[in-house]
Amino acid sequence: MITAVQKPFNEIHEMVRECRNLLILGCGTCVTVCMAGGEKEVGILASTLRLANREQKISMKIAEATIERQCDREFFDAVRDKVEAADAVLSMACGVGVQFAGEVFEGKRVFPALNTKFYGTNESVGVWSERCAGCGSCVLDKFGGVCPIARCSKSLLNGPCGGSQNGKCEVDQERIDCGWQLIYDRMKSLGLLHLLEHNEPLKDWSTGRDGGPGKIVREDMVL
Amino acid sequence: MAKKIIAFACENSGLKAIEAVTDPGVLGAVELVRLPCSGKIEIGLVLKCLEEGYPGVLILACPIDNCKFTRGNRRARNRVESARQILRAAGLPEERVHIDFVSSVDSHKVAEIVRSMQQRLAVRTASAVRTASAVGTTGPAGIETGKGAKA
Repeated sequence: MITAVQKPFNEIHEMVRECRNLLILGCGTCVTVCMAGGEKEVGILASTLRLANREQKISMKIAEATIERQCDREFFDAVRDKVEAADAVLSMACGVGVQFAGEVFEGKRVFPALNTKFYGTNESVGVWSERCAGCGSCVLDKFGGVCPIARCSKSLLNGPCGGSQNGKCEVDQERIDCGWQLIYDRMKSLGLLHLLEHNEPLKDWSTGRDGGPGKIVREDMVL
Repeated sequence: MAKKIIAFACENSGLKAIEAVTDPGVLGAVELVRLPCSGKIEIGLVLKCLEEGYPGVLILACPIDNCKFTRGNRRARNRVESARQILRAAGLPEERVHIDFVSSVDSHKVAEIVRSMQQRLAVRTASAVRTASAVGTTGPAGIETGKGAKA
């Protein structure tokens, strides 16, 4: 899923300070699962904004809504009236949802309440970690299902760098496992260590971010 | 009439303790909500109570390591800390939310917790009133406002 965290409150408050009718719009998919922008978080942010506005004597009406997804046009129909009644929308979706809400409601200002982080997994309760970098040409088959692009800080494809110590990455020895240690351990447990002797050629990065904004067109689906 | 402190009390400890309090001053200061476990408290609910005008939110949980559901009181403690962080970040007084850990026989301790929370909130209210009255005598542009100001 796409993971995100809420922006610092002051940053959000500065963005919306001039609004008189604000709609806080949650997203019911990824950011609900990672507890950053679902119905519950919409309620918390709305209450915090109302309390802060009261303290600072700012007059602002705040409405709340959460839709199934902000990255699909059809789900916006349910909140069209609320969006039209608002000066601006404070979207609690990922960056995709914020932009798409702005495209669906032309002329309406849409502010981001979250900082979108990465494609990750729910490692344990309350902990999310990155697994995929969306490079556009998956190499997981060659590395025992552990991604060197996403899980090595340098995205190295032919073994670890000198900053790998005791299974940890030099970027943050407390928090980050060495991706290549993980790959080695996994390949060893699968009895596939010999495959790592193969040299991986230069990767074509144009399939990911380096190739510009991505687009997928399924001719069989296009109307 | 001003709203009371709202107290969310675990039915296994805090609720029994507060029900045994005899001081009418303490009982009259609190609106009581029974929880099956303090771990049931939610950050959104705490903030909603403040938004609705309750001066303070008190959570009464079982002593640490003595929760019937193993870690409900630790959960409550973490959530209260998160709620206080949210208030701090928004420039609001965090002492409006408080958690304490009591057993079912701690009625004297609960009474003291309520009294000291009342005092903290009263100090805050008094200082807020002083600030408001200071603002009321001289407006942002130095213009006299309020009672006695010339029309």
